[in-house]
Amino acid sequence: MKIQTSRFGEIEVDESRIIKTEEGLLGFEDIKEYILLSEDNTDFYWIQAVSNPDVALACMSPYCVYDNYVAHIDEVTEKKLGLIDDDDALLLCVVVIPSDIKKTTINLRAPIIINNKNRKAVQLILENNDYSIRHLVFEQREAG
Amino acid sequence: MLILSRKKEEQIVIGNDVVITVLDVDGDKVKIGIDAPMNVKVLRRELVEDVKAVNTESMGVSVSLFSELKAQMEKK
Repeated sequence: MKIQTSRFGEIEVDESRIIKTEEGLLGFEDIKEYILLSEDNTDFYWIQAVSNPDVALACMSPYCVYDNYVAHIDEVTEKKLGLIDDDDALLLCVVVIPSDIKKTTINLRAPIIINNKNRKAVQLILENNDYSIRHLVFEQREAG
Repeated sequence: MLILSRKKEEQIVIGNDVVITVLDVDGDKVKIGIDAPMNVKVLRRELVEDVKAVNTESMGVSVSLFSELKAQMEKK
């Protein structure tokens, strides 16, 4: 099927790759279907809304900043995702890049969790308050 | 908005299975206990609002800045 995007124009996507979120993403509760767009590097994705060309969130793997990042997925979320094996979960965190790129932040507190097996997704706010919603990407890398 | 006055240790029931208890009041701080089923999400409002704000701000990221970020992260 073809979808319209403001950033990449019209693109052809395989329907089987559509990601479904029952609850939508926070702030975009009405948009339930997304598609992951990446180039060669699979740590970086755009989560593009299928039905709204303008809605696309820039996301990055949390493991780019924290090798030992841990998202505790509670039972209710596991059920929602139909997640049996945690290895099937793809974790992506939303990034915000200001004009000064060194101040880029990643939301480690509320990862988007995608079950690779069935393409169901949830944005989960973790209980763990060690993780910040606006974690400075470069600070961590330089410190580590 | 429904407005109720409650004293310490008094409760409010929401629906069939959510119970809110005022545990303590100290100046402008109220300690609240919430009993809710596992599938009812209970979160501090400002946390939810901040996640929404970040999601919305991320929409403003341009393709060129995102590529630049990728390049800078790969360099390291």
